[in-house]
Amino acid sequence: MHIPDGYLGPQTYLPAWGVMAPVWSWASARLKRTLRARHLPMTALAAAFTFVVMMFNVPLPGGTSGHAVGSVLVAVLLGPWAAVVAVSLALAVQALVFGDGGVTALAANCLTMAVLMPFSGWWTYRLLAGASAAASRRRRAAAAVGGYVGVNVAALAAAVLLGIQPLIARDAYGRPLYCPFGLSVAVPAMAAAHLLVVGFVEAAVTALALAWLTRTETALPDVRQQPSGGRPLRRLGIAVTVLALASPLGMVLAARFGGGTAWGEWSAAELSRLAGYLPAGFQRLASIWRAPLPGYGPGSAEAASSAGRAVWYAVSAVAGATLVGGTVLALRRIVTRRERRGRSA
Amino acid sequence: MAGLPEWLRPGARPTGRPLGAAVGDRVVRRALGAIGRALALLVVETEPSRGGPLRDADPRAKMLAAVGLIVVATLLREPASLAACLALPLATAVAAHVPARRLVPVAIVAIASAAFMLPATLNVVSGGHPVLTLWRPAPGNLGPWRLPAAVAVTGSGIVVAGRMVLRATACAALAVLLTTATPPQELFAGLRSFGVPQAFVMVLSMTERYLAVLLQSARELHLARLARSVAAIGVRREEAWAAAGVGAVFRRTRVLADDVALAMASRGFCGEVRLLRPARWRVGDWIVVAASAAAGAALLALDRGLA
Repeated sequence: MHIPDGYLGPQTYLPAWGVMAPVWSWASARLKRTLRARHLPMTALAAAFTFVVMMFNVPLPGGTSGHAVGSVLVAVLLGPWAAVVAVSLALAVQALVFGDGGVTALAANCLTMAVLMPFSGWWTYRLLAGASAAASRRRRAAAAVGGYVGVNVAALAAAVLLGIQPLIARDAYGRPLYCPFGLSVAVPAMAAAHLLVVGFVEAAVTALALAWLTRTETALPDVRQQPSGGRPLRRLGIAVTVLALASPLGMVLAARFGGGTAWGEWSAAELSRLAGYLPAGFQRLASIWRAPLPGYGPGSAEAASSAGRAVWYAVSAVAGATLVGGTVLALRRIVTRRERRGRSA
Repeated sequence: MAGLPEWLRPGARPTGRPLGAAVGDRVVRRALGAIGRALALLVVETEPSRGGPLRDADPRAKMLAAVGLIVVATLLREPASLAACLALPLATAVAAHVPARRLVPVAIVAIASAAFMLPATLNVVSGGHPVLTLWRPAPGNLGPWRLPAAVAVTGSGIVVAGRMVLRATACAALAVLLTTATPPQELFAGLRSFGVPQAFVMVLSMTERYLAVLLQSARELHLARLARSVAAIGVRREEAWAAAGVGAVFRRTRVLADDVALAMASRGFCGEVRLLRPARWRVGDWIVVAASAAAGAALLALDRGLA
């Protein structure tokens, strides 16, 4: 999954650095806050641990072998932000000391293996583990599924990064300048290898290592009890509100530069106009559900001025974000209650 | 004798497959080889003589030069200019008396890239004019895909694959030259000059330092496993052993982290990060940066001229 230098064009690796810079900055701020504690050597050693985990080859049926990445295991044991720092540092050491993985592609590799993998794996683990006991089978199964999901999410992201190269960079003769395999090749190739083989290695190592540690280690760190540092929900709320209010910009810019509907998001009328006919199945399914705010506004909004439509667009964004956020918070409340009940039982 | 397992009793012969042919044995030996190579590389990193004249240049200058040229390599489009970009670090390595074994990772990248790019030479991936027909399948479908009339190597495919192999190898050669000529601790201290947060740099240098300790632990685990094996065990038990090994390394990690934290506290660490101060920038360092900038500009000009 380590993308070497030269496979990604600057159109991809520069935005990856742009995405990772605030993530590292945030992680660095968290690291600084805990510098006085034993966190510093633990983070350094967690990075070294991640590196060493990749050295443990696991035999697979059929005579082959594979190795785990260990991001989800570190996330389960030390928390996802510790995993971001530890895996980023391990990848940096691999690139700078061992020449494994690219220097320009370092941010892209960190995005897939140090951010997407630990967070997706950790969230899956938390969702499935619930309030179960540390040594329970459910906790081990949750870790296994977390490892499987995490490594597959990371592989899919790496495949997309590689697969979009032929779409965005070609020479004068139309030949791809960077990775020549498009999405139709890169995604199935990576997905097959990770869904069928590597995912199971990651799942086995994550679950079995957690089981071994819960059996032998009496004082495992409980990441659920770590302080969150500040008020992340409030900050997230502010960020989402700002983004929601800025959302009409996309509509205004699309109208200014003559952009049409996004590819594949056509309404029945648009598809009928573009294709010359409306497939029967599409026609049947299109009328199953009547949205309360069709086209991000009431039915009359289509006829309104562009300012009126922009207001409705922002209102829809705030309403949608509130609905999603409210659902997540309600779920969180249910999970927390169950956890409390589980602890008191 | 009642408590002894069957295989430990005097005169007992191991049952199951002989160890030498077992997959698990090969996997453990392969892991031991990889750990040994990584450890050797970490030890070699501390040799003061490697890197020749480049060794004396400031790490910031070397980093600027290498990363700048790697970025240039990702911008080049023509195979000839990419070949020149590859020749540059190889010639520098020869001039700086870099041992050939240090360039092994470059060869590995070249071979791996060539293998990865082989399908890109075919008309089914890259299209273009066929230069060598490999297979003419019977008309039909393979699942949802329609079989092509012929599978052939194309001129466009060769250019695409060649370009990728040359670019990946040139980038790897530049990265290896940088890591060969600069000890990791100096390299990490140099990162501070490029805006990398102090805490990150400190943790990075600690990671590199303790990596050898954990690698040694992993090596001991693998050696112990090999020394105690008398016959092949099943894949499930192999997986359980690997997971237990990972767990054991994690326990070692925690113990070591506690020891290091206590050692730091006893030496007066109170959260203030101190790093090695980089040496003063000298005339020679300017020459390294200027030469690499000139080489990068020349490569870009050559590339645009060939386009």
